[in-house]
Amino acid sequence: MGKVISVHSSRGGTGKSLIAVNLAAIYASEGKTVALLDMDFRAPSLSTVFKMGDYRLIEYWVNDFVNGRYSIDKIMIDLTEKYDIKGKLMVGLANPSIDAIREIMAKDRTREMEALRRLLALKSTLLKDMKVDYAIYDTSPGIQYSALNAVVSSDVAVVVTTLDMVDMEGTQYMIQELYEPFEKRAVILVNKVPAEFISSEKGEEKLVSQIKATFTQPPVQMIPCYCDVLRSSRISIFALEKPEHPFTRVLCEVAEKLERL
Amino acid sequence: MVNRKAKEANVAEALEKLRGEIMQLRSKLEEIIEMDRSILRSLRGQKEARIEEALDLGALDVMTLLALPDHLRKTAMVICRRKAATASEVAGETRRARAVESNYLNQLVNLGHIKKKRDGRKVYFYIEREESEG
Repeated sequence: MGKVISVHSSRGGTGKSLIAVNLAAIYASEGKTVALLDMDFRAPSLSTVFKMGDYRLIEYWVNDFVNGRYSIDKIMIDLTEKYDIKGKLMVGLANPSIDAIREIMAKDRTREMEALRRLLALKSTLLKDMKVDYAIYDTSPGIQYSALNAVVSSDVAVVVTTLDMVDMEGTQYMIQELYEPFEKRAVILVNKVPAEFISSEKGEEKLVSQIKATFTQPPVQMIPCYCDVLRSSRISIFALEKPEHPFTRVLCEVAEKLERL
Repeated sequence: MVNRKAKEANVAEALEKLRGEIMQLRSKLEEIIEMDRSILRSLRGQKEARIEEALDLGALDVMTLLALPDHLRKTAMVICRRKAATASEVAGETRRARAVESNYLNQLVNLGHIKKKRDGRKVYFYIEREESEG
């Protein structure tokens, strides 16, 4: 049986979507069947990342599944051939139109309860019926309904943080006040680490012990800040474009560690 | 004689003054009592509004789940995952005693989060839905 991984963070701009997309691409290029779902309904990104063209021509969205209009098989788009991948990569897009975002914002608590129940049932549909090895949910940052629903219905949450104090404190708060009450397994992924912080073994050890003291667990990985990644401007899927780049290699290690959890 | 009349006049004046003051006190008291009544009415109104709000809070959305005490959250999550479950089925998932789960499930029923129905000898706990499964 596969795994549902949610990628979450306390604030925006930590690299959540970039990591979700590239993790999905890595698993799929290793031959796995992957379903990547955009659950950041207020700031969708995957239709742009995967160059899906004019959003008005796309018929089905993850929004439609969450709102109970369509089943998930109608929503997932198979991009395996587009990227010439060994495994299978399916994506579910979030609708970027203002109308769709307004609909999400206007949902009352009963609708949110229905959304949670659909997402809890989605795991079995994806992993059992659709034979997915890894389902990856790219969530919205912070504590809001869509993010919490996605985190609660996943097996493991990858919490992406930078070394910024506000990010770190927010992450610590979420671990204590959110993941622990729901008994949710959460791993810390530190992104955009300045290279000089981890250039020596001693420096890296010091940083790991600092992070361990803050979160009561070591980080699953520390990803150095690569200008190449920033330079790529997400024109392509980085891990597929540059499989030998250190960013891809370090993310492959994250993929392996998540597999072993 | 004159002296006695003057004394009586003084007493009458003092009594009249006292009566005036008592009347003033009485009207002040009535004002206070009326004020108390209106405060009580307003408080009762607020309490009723809070009760109505609480009854409306029956939905088991993720924020409500987060607000529940740990022991009830664990039970409620099982009901969220399933369409309906008996106390034994919930106990099977939470690894707690059936009687304990039965108690927690009934607490969730009393809080208005879930419903229960009897089917033969079994009692099922479930979340009332507004629409059929999509």
